[in-house]
Amino acid sequence: MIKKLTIILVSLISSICSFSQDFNQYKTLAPQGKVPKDFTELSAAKAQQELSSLQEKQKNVRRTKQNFIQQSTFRVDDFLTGGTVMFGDDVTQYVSQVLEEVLKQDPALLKQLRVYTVKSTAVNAFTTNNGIVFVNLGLLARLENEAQLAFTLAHEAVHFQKKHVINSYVRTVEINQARGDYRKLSTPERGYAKSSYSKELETEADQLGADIYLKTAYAKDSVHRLFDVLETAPAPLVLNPFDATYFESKQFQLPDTLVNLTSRNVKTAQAYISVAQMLLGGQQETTKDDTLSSHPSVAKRKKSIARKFSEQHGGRDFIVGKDRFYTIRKIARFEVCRMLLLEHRFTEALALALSLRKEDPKSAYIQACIAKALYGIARKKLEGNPVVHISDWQAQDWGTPMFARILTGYELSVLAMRELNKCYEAYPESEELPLMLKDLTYQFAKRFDDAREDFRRTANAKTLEGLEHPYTQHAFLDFRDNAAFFKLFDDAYTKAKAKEEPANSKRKKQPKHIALNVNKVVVVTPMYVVADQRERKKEKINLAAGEEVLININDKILEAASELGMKADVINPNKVSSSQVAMMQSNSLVNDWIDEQSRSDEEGMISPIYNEINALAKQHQTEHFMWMGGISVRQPKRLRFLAVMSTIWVPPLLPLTAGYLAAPRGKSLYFAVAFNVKTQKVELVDVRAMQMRGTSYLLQSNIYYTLFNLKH
Amino acid sequence: MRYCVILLLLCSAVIAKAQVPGYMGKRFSVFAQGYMFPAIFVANTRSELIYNNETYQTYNPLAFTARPQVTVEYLIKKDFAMGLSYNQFAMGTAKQLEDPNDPGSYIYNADVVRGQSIGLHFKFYRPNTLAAVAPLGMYCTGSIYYSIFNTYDDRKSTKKQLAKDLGRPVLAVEFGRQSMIAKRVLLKTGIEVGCAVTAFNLSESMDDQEEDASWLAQKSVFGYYVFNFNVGVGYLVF
Repeated sequence: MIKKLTIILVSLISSICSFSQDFNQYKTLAPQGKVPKDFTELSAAKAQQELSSLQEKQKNVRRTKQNFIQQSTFRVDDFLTGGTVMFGDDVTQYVSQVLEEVLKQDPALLKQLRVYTVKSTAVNAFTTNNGIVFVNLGLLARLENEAQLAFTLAHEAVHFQKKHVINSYVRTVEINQARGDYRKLSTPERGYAKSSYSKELETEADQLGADIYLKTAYAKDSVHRLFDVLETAPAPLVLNPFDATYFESKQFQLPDTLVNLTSRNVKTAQAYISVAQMLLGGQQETTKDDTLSSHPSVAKRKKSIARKFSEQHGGRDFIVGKDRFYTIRKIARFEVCRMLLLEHRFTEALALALSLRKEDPKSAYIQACIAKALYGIARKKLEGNPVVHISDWQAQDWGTPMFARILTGYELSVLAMRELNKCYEAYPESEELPLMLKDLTYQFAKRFDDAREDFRRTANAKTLEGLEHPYTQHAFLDFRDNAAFFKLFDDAYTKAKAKEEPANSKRKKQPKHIALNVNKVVVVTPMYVVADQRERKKEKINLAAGEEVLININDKILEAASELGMKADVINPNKVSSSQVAMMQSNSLVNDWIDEQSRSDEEGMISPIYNEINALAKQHQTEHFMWMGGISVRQPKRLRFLAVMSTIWVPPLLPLTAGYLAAPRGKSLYFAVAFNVKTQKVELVDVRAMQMRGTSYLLQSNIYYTLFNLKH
Repeated sequence: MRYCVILLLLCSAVIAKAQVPGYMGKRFSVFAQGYMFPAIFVANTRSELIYNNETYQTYNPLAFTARPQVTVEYLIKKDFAMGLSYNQFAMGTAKQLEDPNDPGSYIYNADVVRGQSIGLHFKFYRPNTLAAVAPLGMYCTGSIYYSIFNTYDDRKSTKKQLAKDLGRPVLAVEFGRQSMIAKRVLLKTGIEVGCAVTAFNLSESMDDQEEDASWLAQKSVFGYYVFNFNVGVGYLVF
């Protein structure tokens, strides 16, 4: 009775929690609560601790394992602080609860594992040697039920329990160095050996994972479907057939040729697809060859666990909560949509957003995603960049990519302007939508200078003749405020014309230096690498030294800023305490933004997370964000022998050669890029390569110099 | 001359922006430097050369000429500094041949030249091309010294051979690198190539002993400034 009551209570709390996210005004996932130890502890200390507990008698293997621990601890920590790993949020909490359910019978193993969700579109989950299980949102977005997640976690738990990660590394090193049994293998045979071993481990994880899973109350019949989900993972996530009618209204109708691509006429669409597939040479992969793959093929994986499940039936698809699972999956799908926009995979984002709209037709977030995706596709098309690779898609999902491919830059721009304006009228508080609209109208005006009168401005206006795409003339008729839109449209034409006309007056002399007058800056995720190229050094990258620089960099930035009378906030995930969750939230957002900015091939494109980054800027009371870092390389002295010999031959050279031999030789690179997140422009690029080893003082000087340039 | 230099520095300081980069905006530095070079072009004060030339100069493979110098420097712009320097120098005279075609025809004349210089220098840091962030990194300095010197019988002697000190301008260019070894403490290493502006048409004035000594002293000073290594330690005062 108590057990039942507890379950009801947990379910109730879960359902309350599950509705904490408002999907109409969806806010992106962010870390919550206390920052876990995995994020706050220094990598060097973690590595040391792990090394001290290493038990391996064989000398060679021991050295390889030590090397792995050193490298992997820092790499995993880099990943943890990279802004994509979430903790304490609804999704992570849910996944942790499922893991608890899975490992109920093995509390000792459970105690050693921690779960974090990762903002990644990749359909994947993976484990580290020190017991961190990462589950990508890309995987959660595709799962059909909680039981499938449970099996995935059981599989990952085995990877940890059996130390697969480190063993795989040791074996790979043995194969690469042609040690032992691998001495006589050719290069292709070595590749095959690595793949075989990896598959062996995967099969073991599947089988032992199945043993763990079978001890739970989860449904035994759900697992085989998980492999089908994984098989379709490389294709974009599309939940419903493409429906072009979404873009239509009473006044604005798409031509039948386009609409036929949609579910309204499935047969025509399929025929079209098969013809298009034939014409475009897009082929769907039919045979799966796993010879050199790290994982066995789905068929083999299913077979390997089939016996274990053959006599087992029953169980539940959901234990932690059905509603909770669907909410979590929806969050994951909403996040995938955002990530696709950030990765500039606009057609995929459009397909997913249109699918999600079926379930949440009133979601402002989804409507904005559709408008932003169209904006991205239109901008790419206008620049002449490819918008989609149809061969990546499954045949039944070809509607959206064909739509993006068939429509011209003109048509897509009209459609995007229409959607952006509709969305802006619905959500006038958005800052990014008017900017996108303004940018797109300007780009359109620049390229189609005679298209200003191609659109009916009022319902009473005459139908225009002789247009290449006649249906587009009705695109801007059904806004709440047509006049406001056409004012913006005309302004774009005026601006484009003004830029086109050569200036009559003499060109004004550009001032040599424009003062930026920045009084506050946010320094985000600084990076520093210390390398040692000397031969006797086996490890060329000194990860611990790099970490030490990053721990102390905050003081340097603040000292330099204070000296210049500036203010500075530092978002440095390398130096974080358990209470600094706000910094980790900022870190996640800023990393998303920087990553997106670095992808953009189209100049002046407005970021899909402009609103978010601007909100962060307001929080920090500055528009100026700076990313900085450096590399210090210690180099070998090549002329050592010559120096010694020349001193023996010409003794007066002794002070010179002694100085040469004593002074460390090296070079360094320092960089800083300052952005104005409001204008989306790079304000300052400060890059210096110096023939000097990077020292604490040099870094301090460089930081001061950059801040000085920002201020003056 | 001194007033001119001070005036120039003051003007520069007024014109310059309130803050410049450098190590945390510190602009004024003081250096203790040592210029040295193996005794190749000119002998040291013990009349030693690093090679055996069968003349009156003795052979010492570790013979050096050295010049201690004190420099004060002020960073005016982000890539430009100005400074003043004071140094003292001493060397043996260069060997003198009676017959230039006969290497053995030297005249025994182991005088010592001693003197001091005051200099003004302009230092350029090139943040873009030489990748420096003043005062750290590569630099190039153009200097003008005014050297006053006289000759003496030997290194301990205080009796001047010339009634009136000789004064000669010296032009020098220095290329080097500055790094920071402790907070505010700079280490400077570089090479200096210089030229003492000297009249060399003195070969016919060998009759007069004083003129001869003067000619030898000038020749030595010329040889002394040709090439020098520089090592210095500095402190960023403010």
